[in-house]
Amino acid sequence: MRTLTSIDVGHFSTGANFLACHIDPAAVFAYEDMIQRALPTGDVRLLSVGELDPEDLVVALGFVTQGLAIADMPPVGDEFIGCIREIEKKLGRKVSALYSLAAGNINGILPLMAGLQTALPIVDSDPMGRVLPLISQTTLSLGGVDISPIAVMGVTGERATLDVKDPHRAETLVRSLVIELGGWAATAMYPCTAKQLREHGIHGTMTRMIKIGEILDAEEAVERKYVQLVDLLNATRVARARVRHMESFSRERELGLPTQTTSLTLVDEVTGHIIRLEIENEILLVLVDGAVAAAVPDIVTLLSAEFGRVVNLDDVRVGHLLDVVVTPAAPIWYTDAGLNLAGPPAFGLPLQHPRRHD
Amino acid sequence: MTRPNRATRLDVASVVAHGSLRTVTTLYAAAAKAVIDGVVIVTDLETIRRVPPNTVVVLSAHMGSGGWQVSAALRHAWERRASAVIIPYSTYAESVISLAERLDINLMAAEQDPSTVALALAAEIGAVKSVAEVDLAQFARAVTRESTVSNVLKTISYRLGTLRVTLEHDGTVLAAAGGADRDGVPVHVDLPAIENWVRVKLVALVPKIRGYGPDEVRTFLEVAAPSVQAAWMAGEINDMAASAPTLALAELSHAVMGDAGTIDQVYPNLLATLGWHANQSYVAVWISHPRHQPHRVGRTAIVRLLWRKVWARRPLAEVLGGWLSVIPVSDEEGPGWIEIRIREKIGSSLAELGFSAGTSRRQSGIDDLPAMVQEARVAAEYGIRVAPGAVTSFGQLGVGAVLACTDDAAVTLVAGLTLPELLSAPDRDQIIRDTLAFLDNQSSMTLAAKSLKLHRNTLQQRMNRVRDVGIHLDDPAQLLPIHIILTVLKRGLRVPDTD
Amino acid sequence: MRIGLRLEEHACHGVMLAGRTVVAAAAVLDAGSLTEAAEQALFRLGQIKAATVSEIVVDVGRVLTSRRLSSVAVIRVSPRPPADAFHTSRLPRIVEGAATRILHVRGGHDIRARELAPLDLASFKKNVATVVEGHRNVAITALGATSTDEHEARIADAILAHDSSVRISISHDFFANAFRDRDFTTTLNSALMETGEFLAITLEQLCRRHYPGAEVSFVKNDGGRARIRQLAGTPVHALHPEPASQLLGLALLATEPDCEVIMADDKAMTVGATRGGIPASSSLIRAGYEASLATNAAAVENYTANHPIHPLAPTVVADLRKDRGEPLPFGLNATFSTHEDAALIGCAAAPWTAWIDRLENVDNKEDLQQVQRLAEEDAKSIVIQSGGSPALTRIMESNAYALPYGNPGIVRVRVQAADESDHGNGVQPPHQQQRVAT
Repeated sequence: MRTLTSIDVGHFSTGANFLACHIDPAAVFAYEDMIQRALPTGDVRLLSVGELDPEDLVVALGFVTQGLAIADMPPVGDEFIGCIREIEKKLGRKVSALYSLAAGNINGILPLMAGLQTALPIVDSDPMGRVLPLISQTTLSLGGVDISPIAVMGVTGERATLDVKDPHRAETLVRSLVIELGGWAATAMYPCTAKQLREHGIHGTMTRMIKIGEILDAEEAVERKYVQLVDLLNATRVARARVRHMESFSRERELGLPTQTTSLTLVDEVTGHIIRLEIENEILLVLVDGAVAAAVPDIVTLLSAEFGRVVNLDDVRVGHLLDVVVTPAAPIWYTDAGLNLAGPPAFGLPLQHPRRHD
Repeated sequence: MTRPNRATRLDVASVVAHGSLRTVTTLYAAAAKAVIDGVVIVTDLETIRRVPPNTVVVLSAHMGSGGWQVSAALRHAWERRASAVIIPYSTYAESVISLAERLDINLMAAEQDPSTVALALAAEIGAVKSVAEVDLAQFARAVTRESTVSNVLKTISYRLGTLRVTLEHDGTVLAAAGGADRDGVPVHVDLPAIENWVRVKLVALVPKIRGYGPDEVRTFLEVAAPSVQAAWMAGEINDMAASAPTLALAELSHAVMGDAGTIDQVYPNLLATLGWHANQSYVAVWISHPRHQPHRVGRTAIVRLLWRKVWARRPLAEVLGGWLSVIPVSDEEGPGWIEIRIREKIGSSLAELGFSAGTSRRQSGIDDLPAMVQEARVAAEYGIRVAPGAVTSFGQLGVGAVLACTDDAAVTLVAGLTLPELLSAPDRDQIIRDTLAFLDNQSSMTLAAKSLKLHRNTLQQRMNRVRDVGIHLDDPAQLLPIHIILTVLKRGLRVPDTD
Repeated sequence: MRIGLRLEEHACHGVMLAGRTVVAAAAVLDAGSLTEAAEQALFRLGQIKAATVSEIVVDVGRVLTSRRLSSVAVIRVSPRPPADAFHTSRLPRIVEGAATRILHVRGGHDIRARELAPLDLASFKKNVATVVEGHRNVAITALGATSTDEHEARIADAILAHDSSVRISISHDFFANAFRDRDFTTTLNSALMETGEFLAITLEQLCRRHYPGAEVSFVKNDGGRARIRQLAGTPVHALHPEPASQLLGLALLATEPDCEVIMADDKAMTVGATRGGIPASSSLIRAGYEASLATNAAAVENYTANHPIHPLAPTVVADLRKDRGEPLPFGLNATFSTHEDAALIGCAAAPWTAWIDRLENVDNKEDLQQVQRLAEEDAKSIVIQSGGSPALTRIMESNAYALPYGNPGIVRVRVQAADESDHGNGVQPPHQQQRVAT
């Protein structure tokens, strides 16, 4: 077990932003600020899943968003507590520890605040190992762990508990609730035993965010940071290229999915490679001269070549020089079942993942 | 896929210069000479991975819609040593051209439908061997033979196992063919765009369980789209010709509230051309569009396609502010059946378009044609203001029609249509003043008499005249309309007042 | 000819510009008051050719920054109040002290402008007297105000019905996605309104007295100008104009309308860029983890050793140091050096600019193009209404952004228009120069 310091929380926030795949970091920073202020009032305890009793009840916390962003509609503060209580009431037993629905972006960091509010420890595991847009896209779901009961609470104070077997149906139902709740809802879902989480979760993902932050926040040359990142994450720098063109609506999209599509074209000024990024909430696809260099569930991050800082899409302008860094997702995502759930076709891209072998 | 059956091979440059590809725009011409052995229309990336060398790869319109797919297609085509890639005209971006340049592969953009280009090229290559291509070619010939929109749709539907095929504009179904099964995945293909013409889609509902996949269906629709367009435009020209006499009639109605005799003088044979008879009853139908709606050339074509569902044989003329048709009615049909029929057939479509229909009162004979036209127009305008999509009958509105009028001229027009006795009465001005005084004083005879400086009994007597000219003050629903009409008519009297 | 003034509490610097040439300059230091400083500067400049001055542009950034902020009553509208202190939206230190009353009112909308909670106007009206008591300035920030100003406007109406002299600032007027950014911007704007109002009136009167025929405007954070009267309503846009003016001035002096400008002065090295002679801007002034200020401002960053070189655009390395004995850091060679007050020249040359930044609903590419066209027309018409030339008003930037995880079809459209006619940079095609000459 590890008790997080204020410095750890700072690194955690940087790591959460790195794994957010370009999403606006305002909410992550706002949460970090909140956690830093609340830190003197309690402890954030991070423990590995093996430290829990196998029968302990653990529950995933996460925001589900569609509409007003969290930064645009700040939480009142009682939403996650409400969700945890609802799950406890429903199952008739106490929750022993919390875990993050997705180890990245806002959902990566928010359990820290909930841990401070409830004095519950945070498990160093999650069911995505990155950020994926649908609540059904989890390794727990691949492992047959029930998603429900799901507790949902919005900024309005309105709440609901859902009992639904099929994770895809759960996604649809939660999503429609979220729209009516204003744009996001706090949720608690995948209540399971520590044993189930150990068998079907991805581990060490919270600590990984702190390590990423330690590297990126250090006062070091950009190239040195990259060497360490590659070492830690098995990542590759696909290109260093300049933004040439940006467009919206480059693909047709299905209504109902939480989505906006955008694409970026960059040119590597040394090799002449033309790099095209397809974006739908996060970066889904990297083409180098038309050939697939990376595709979801690979984690793609844009860093400024100048500072080695994470660049978010809002900040990208034509003429910027960016590094495109690809980090592989957890191995389970490259199995047939994993790619079916979270591979390119699941995002409307009719192509085979380069890591899929048939 | 097609193979050449002649010894000399085509090359890209010559086919572009004076062959079947002369209509395409070259976005990038490769430095090396590229020969053509075959052509293929692709609907997915995987197909390109399997094309033989020296093939012209034509991307289907749907595939061209994702810019990244064009990039990936270029790459695959380059890896397969394809002779050229042809993409839909609208989708190319500068980055795609840069990539073609980088890979040094011919890249062209087609303004026409990609399948048309592919078929033409296949024909030039000389042989159509692949089963799928033969099938498409036969289908293309079959749809070209049809001359009406509904027959083209029927042909498509039949070829694809009677699935439902519709022609739609902004959600409004203009024509349909095939099964009643409404479940399935919709596949959309836009009709080729024509400047100023409305955007219309060909839609097929692909059942989830059996038969063709969405991509195949899309390809068939792409092949058929030009034929649908051609048939529609041909039909439109016929309709326009047929509506000419009605159009003339509408022009007259704007000019004078004339009678049949006048019309015959101005337009000899007009009534005969319309097939009108003195002993037949008629109803005019006017369809209005909202005033602010911008004019689009194809809008009339859409309304005409809809109108065919109501009366295929009665021409619909485009007139200033809407469309007009005149329907013969027989006495057996009960009142309101015209409105019911319009509502049933196209009511929801009118609502979606924001249009409204209005009908005139039934007129026996042909004496009052212009009045009929005006009545229908006023009723339709009423619908636009009060409830878009409504079918309003002037007969039911009566004087109430003024409630939707926005200017004095319109009110005067309604007055002319609903209160002809009043307008032709010799004591018209007095009746108007008396009634207005009565209404202005909240229906108090005493106060009204006082304001007119008359004895109460005198006014009481005069008010009997009011009923004679068709004004019914005992009907509460008429009070406000009458008040408005008389106020406007009185304004017209002001001039002699001050003289 | 145009005059640029940089006003301070007891000082005022001014230049008179004919095209790119400085024809007169004045510096008033240690004046008794702000009014006196401005008056003296105007008087000295005016000794030459008062009648030919057509434009006076004032930089009031230093005055706004130095004056004490007025106290503000902050009203936040959302469905429920924060549950604890940590979840309470925190204002940055610079304005925290000015927010002497903070009140929560139930209400708010979602991004589609649908009401999330009915506005609790009844209780608000009951307490309105206590809310505004002792406050002449009120800032209102409602949830979802980027999509509608309904709740903010209704509260503002209720306050004005109670006391029509209260100055009110609503967050709908500032575009930022984050609630706390809008809350900060609205509060700061509100705290500056009193000074803004004073400056607007004072400057208009002063200038009219000395130059009756001249148009008076203030320079904004994006380097453009707006009519002086707008200073009373949105002073926050006049808070940090100097970096933008400096960029604009340097591009003008270097006659490079489209370039990257690396600026080396005695304190620091910074870098920015101009397009069409106007600074490239971003919509927020960020301050680390604190709330950002929602105002369009020139994007100027510190120059670093890793700064990428853009091979296609020209770079101006401007040496602005007083002492040029030492070589420039990072091995840079100056392409241009001057001791002129580039920011003041940039201020005098500021063109009319306007921004449209808003959310739109779109279904497809055609819709997107249409809303973008509309935004472009709106931006142009604002510039033309300010006094820009209909023929020479151009779109400088026009972007549409997808909102990640937003509702499908909601995009942010951001457009800048500027009047290019009064750009004395001498690089326009001859047919465009005519109006400059007249």
